[in-house]
Amino acid sequence: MTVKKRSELSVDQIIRRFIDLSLTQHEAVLYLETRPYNRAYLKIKGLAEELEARPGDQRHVLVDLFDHPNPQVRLSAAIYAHPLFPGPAIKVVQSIIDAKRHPQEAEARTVLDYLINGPLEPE
Amino acid sequence: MAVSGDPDEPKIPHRRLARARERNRIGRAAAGYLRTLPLWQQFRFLARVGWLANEAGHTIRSYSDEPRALEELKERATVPSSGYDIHHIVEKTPAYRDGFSREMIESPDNKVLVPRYKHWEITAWYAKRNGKFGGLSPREALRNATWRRRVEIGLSAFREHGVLR
Repeated sequence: MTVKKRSELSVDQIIRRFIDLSLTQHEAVLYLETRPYNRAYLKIKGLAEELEARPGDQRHVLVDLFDHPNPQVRLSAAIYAHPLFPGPAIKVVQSIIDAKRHPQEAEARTVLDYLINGPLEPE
Repeated sequence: MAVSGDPDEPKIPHRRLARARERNRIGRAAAGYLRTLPLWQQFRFLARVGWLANEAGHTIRSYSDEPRALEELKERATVPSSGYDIHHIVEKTPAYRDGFSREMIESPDNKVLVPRYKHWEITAWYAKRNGKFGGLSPREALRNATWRRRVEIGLSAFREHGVLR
């Protein structure tokens, strides 16, 4: 089976991979396994960068994942859609915190801090 | 399977699972679910989950602790308690690697008592890549950082995991 490069994927295919990788992260968080989580993190980031590079900045399609049943998918979508839709993205993250959704609640707090305050300032 | 009709309730097998990896996953799922229940339903849930409550009852219940003040967390670290672990605010191994002294690392000022599952989750958090840290894990981002920065991040991790008020 030939694995397509990201640049050769349709937007729908990118979103399907985005979901699959987020579900991989969810599974990793259930078992506290950081290596598969981190591998998926880099691939998800790459997919988001590919969406951004497409004409018209296709990251807006991530909004469709804001009501996905899996909280890790919603969290990933919120992180990468935030530059275009900051208010709705923050609401998605806050809702995971408010619902005390295990195991994403703590991660959602870190994400919320990042979305509101940006990356950590250097010392 | 223990079932109450609540779709969010984790499915707990009636028989104890052989693999620790699976027992721990289910224990954490039960603990996470317990936190969402009012007290009277917590007792009912624990009564339904048999072997799991016998084996990990303290650990599951401690996960529902309300956040505490830092001084209280430090004071509680002086007495071992079932379902809790002593945790270093500044991670030990990276601090030793970067040349901090044993006196600082093992000082009572650097130790707190935290619910066991939250201890595991905080430890995993340190290893997970994170946009807040520029795509690095917190552990990687803290390489060669000052003690003050390590404490700052350590306390921030406690707040985000509901350990510190």
